[in-house]
Amino acid sequence: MPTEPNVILLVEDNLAHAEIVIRSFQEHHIASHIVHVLDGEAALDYLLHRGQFTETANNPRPRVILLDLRLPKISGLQLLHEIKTHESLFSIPVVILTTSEAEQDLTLAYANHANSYLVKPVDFTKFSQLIDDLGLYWLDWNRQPLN
Amino acid sequence: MSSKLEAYLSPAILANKASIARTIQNISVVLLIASVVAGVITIVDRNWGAVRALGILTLPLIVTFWLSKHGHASAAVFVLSVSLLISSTILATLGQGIHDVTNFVYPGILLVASLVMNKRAFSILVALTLLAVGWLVLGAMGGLFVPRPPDVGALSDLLIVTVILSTTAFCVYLLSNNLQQSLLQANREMVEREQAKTALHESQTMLQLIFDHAFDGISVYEENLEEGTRRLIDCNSRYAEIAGRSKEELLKMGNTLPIQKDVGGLANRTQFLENLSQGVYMGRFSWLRPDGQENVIEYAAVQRRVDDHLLVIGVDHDITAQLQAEAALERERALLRTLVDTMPAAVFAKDMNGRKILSNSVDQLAMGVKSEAEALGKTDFDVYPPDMAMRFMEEDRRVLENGEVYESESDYIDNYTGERRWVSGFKRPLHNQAGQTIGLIGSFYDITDIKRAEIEREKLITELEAKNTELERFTYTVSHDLKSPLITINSFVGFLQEDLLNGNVAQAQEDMAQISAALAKMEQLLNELLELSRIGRRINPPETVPFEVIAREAVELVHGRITAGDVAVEIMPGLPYVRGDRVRLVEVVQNLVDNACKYMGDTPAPHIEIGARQTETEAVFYVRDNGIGIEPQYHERIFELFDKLDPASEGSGAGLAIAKRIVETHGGRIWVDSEGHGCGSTFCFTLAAAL
Repeated sequence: MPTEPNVILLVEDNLAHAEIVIRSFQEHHIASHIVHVLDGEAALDYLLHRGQFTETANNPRPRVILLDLRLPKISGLQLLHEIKTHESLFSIPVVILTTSEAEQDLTLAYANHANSYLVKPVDFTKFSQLIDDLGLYWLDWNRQPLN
Repeated sequence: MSSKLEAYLSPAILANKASIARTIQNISVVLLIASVVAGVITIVDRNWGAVRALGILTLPLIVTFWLSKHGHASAAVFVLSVSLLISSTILATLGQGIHDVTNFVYPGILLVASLVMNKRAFSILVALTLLAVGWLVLGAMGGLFVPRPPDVGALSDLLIVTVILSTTAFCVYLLSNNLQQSLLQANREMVEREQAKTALHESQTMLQLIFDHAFDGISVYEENLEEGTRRLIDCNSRYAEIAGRSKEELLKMGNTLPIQKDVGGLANRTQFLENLSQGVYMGRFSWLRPDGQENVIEYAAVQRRVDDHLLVIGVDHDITAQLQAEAALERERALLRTLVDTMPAAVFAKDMNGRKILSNSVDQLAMGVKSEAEALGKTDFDVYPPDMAMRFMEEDRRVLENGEVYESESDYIDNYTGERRWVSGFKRPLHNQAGQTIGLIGSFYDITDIKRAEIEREKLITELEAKNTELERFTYTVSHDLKSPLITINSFVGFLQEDLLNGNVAQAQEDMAQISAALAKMEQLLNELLELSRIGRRINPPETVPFEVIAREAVELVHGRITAGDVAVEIMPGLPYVRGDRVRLVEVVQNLVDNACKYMGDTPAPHIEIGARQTETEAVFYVRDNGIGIEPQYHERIFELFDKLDPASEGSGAGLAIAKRIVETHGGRIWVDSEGHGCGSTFCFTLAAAL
């Protein structure tokens, strides 16, 4: 059992949606610390310890990245590509969490080595369930190397 | 016995009376000389009686000479013979009677005379000779005269005999020579006649062959001018074939005019004969055959007079097949000609020099001539502008020299209307039967309508595809962006329930705020979507408005934000007029100015400039600011619906998309020039209808 809380990096530009995700995690008591950034630039800053996130100690490596596709400036897919081609970052699981069900988005996401693709349900109950399952799977069931 | 006597007495056939006469002439001359010589001798001999006898000869000899000169050979010989006979008898009487040497003359005379005289005359001469001999013998016996006693032999006798014999021989020689000549001539003539006969036979055989095997009908008619009738006397088998009857039938018929029908020329027999008499008669008629078939004959005839008969030799040449072929050809020609003339395409042909040898009505129209006669003989240089003509000439050259088939689609500017038209056509070489190129034929037709339709279709397809793509993107965007607030609402409703159950009022209030915000967002989105879809259907009719007016109105609408941001707005002078939906155009400028204000950032002296610049082809309107600028990689994205670079900023992100839509429906384009962060932005757009 890891001593420090699992860090989840949430890349979501919609504040309301971010709040929903964070609150859901809290309600399901999933032991995790969610770092929320609003765009791809900030996400990379966090992951590469630059910009406002230069303090490595305070900004641990996330166990999983939740990524929305619709982002301003750098798009979600671009960020995905960046992460998955970066030597020190590609092993981090990236779970797409988006409103889009478009086939093209699915194809492109997997083509860029997304680990999973989740569509935000409109129904609250389902959304809640999704977050619960998500936490269970990726943080409890899923194994990752230690380094 | 009598035949033997006749044979002995009758002379040879004399071929040439003239030469005989000449011979006699010569003989008489000789004799004259002879008698002179004999006379001299008798004078020397003092035989005065003999001299007188010889003297008697002189006159007859002269007469003989005269007669023979005038061609009366037989008469001459008769006179000569008789006179010789008389004078020699007298000489003998005065001499030694029957024993006188002058009696050698008798055989001589008879010999010569027999070669020349006819039967009757000769018989008379023979009778006279017998009488003379009889006189000499019987007279002497009866004592009527006393002959001189014979001499032993006088030299004068020798001379006289010599003279007589040589003269006789000479005369015989001359005459026999003459005879020989005549015989030879007769022989030659006979040979010639034989040859002529053979040649005639040959020629007749050949003519007969021609007559029998000729492919045309040959007929020989005899015309009886007094009775006014005609009769067929011969014809060849082909004639009978053409007439559809047997030769025997035709010959029996005699006059075949009743079964002939005049097709052209021959009115009646009289005229026919009249024309004929002037040389060769030619005309056309047809036979009324028993099998009902009628064939057209071309007829030529000549006339020939043989004794009292007028023969007409005619040649019948069957031209039925030829006429039919000509008629068929003419029909086909007429058909093709009609086809060529009524075709909606131009059809033409040129010779090796590029001159028109055929031009149908459409081609004439293209050439600008009113008839084919005007078109023929002209080259392209005569009727088309030089550059076009050069092009055509080059095409022609390739077709004629290389035997290429040239197909093309090309466009040109119509001389008369100035509009652009398309034609599709081809040119190919024209060959004669030997396979040599003798020119080219070509055709072209106007495909302007088709082409225009094609272009229109292409345009429509492109438009449709673009619209489709836009629709897809639109749908995607809409579903995405409408779904988002829906999720928010649903989720916070859920949270609200929980919070209310837990009695967490503060949290519940926050939840409700989130819900309201989301609903507002949805409303805004829906309104802008409506706006966007409405732009596609232009509601307001186009107006022509100065751009300055539009700019001012837009600025007025953004007044609040401008004042709040302390932004200086400058509208350039000398702006052109624009034509379009006034309200929408104001909206465009409004959006751009609004954006410019929103994205000023921390610029100390925020400034917006609205103006226009003129390029060669169009007017470009712009809204320039000195705000935060836009990174080049986002220059396209910003015009996308709801795609905001800064989500925190105001607005739904539809402004630029709407502006783009409006500009595009006016036939223009919109874009941004910006070097990047902190360098300001210039939003530019064009309108098709800008003046």
